[in-house]
Amino acid sequence: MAEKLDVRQGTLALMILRTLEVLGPLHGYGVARRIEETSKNRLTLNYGTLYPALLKLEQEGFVTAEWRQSENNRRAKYYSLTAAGRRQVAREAREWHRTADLIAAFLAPRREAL
Amino acid sequence: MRHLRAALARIAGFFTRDRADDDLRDELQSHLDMETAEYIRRGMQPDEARRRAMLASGGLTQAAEAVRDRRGLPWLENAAADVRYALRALRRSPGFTAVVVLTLALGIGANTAIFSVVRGVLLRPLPHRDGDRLIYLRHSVDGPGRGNIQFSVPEVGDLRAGAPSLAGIAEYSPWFGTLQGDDGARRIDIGLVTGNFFEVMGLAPAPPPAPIATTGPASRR
Repeated sequence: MAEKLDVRQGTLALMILRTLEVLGPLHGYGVARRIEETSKNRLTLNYGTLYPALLKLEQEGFVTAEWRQSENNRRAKYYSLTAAGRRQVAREAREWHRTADLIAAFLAPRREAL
Repeated sequence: MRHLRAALARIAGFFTRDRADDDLRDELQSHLDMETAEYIRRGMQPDEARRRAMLASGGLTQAAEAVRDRRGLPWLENAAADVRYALRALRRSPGFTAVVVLTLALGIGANTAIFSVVRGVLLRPLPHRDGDRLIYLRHSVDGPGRGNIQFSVPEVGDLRAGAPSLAGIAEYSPWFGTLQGDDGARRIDIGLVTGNFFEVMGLAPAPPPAPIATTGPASRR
């Protein structure tokens, strides 16, 4: 079993937004499953982590929520990305790439990199 | 912008929390149901599936609490709960409450009274002009009741002539008189001032007050 990681502060919002961007409107369960699968089960999300994050995104206007019928005829609350949410994914993804590049440069094995 | 938006959403959330609580309970329950169904689909017994789903959730109550902290204005809700608790506690012990209320009332009352005096006597400037240029002259001789004796007319004349640094000298003497009316006499306090008093103090004399008592019988009835 792979080593479990804690969800790093600030990264969960981007994971949720990106999941909604890729899969379209989705309920909390679907988002959690998708994040766990994408992380190859290195991340697990309990409700106390996931739902406050979803609510925060809703408050910030990046996602909207509405109750709908799910594919297997259950009622579930579906979250979908807003236009502002789409812009936010692009912006945060850019920032993460920049940060990751920077950290990668520092962690490079060769001395000359620094 | 997004912070403002989030703040407004929180304020709105404060007023709609009951409905939102129902909504949240339904949402968490639907998550749990879907997860349970998934475990059953994978071949677990329903009881075991439910137990596993419950375990993975990390606790519905904790989750609801975490969402609630994010939703409304938790500090305001906490403050309101504290006030309610305090009021309940006070109602349970009326004796203690009375002592506290009385202590506070006396303390506040005494402070207010003292401050009123301090303000009237020390803080509020007197209505005269140029308080920093005004000096008070008095003289005294030894002996009881002679700490502030009156100046004689020649003394005032000497001061006027001999203290050119003073722009003006005005005199004030307390005096009293007796006013005799049809229904008895009464004492009235009088301040005698020199003609330049109002000019020196920078005051305009008030218009003469209505007579305190007239000789006619109608005024007292």
